[in-house]
Amino acid sequence: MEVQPTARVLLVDDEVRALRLITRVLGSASIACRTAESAAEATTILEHDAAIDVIVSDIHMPTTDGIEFLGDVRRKFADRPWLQLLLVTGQASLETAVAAMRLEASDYLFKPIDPKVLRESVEHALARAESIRTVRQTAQDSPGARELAQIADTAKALAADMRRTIESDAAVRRNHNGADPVKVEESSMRTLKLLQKLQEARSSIFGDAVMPEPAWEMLAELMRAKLANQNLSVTSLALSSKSPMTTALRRIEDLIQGGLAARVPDATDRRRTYVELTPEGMARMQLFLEGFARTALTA
Amino acid sequence: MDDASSPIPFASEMRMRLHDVNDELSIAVLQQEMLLEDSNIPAPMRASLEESLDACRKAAGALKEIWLLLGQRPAP
Repeated sequence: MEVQPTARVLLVDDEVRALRLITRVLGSASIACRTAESAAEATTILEHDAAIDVIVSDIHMPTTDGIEFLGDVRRKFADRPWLQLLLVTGQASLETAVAAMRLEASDYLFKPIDPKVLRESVEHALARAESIRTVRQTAQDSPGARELAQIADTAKALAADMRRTIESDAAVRRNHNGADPVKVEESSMRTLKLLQKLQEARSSIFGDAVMPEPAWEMLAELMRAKLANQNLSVTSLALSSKSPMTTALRRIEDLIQGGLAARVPDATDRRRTYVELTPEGMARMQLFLEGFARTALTA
Repeated sequence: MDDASSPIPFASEMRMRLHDVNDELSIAVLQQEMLLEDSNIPAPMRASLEESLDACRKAAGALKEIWLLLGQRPAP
């Protein structure tokens, strides 16, 4: 007798046909699912089934909308930080993107959904949930004193490094009163490198358990390229996101639609296109980096 | 229900209806995509399905343009 795999995915949609179809799409990749036709039913399932790792929820539902439901899930099941949320929406909007970030959603998909994108996204989310569960299990099973000491050492070294860089940058800004753009750019570049170090430290400690933030990774890479006067192809930019290519390409579109980045044709080869920060994107990154430096200094 | 943030009357109502249309289109698209993933499908049927899928995707694209014309939903 064939053994049915444990369902680790919960699909939530008020539309039964959509539930049936998505179950088939994921089933073809051997991903077993449970389904719920409402937020209330989904909550009941989550209360009784701790095997659920990924929730794929439609946003547009009649009684409780998907954003509200997933917000409730984050609050009610705060002891399950491995839960991965995937939002499905009909309309790309800033509102949805912000909600997805607030909920720490692992992805959001637009209708009509492409089955390949859906499978890839769910597989990615399942792997991430597994990774977080493993990290937590390891922490619970072993004294972990050595790892904890390593983490503390890394954090301490990084904090000292940050303080040094930020203090010297603050001195540069004070002395030049923001009038020397070259110095300010150098200072922004150092802050960026610092943030990158922070990210690397985070990855070395938590591995895949802490998900990359593709849009942020790409914004930082665009800023770095701008400051270094370099051109960035779509492929290089997507690779810098540390996410699956399809996710990266969608996030690039989000950045372009949000007015933060723009496609620029290569003057020497019309077949080639680069991506760069728009003046708006540049101004916002500058503001962020300065704000970060100030906050870190006063923390 | 009217929407004061949009110059178009009944914008909220229209957005809701567009969601319903998009949901129906999504089901059609997913169904066709799944059928096309079957490698045993006869060639004429495949061609016909692909055309139908293309039409649905174009309809979904046009629908999103209408959404944009309607503007963003007002903040709650």
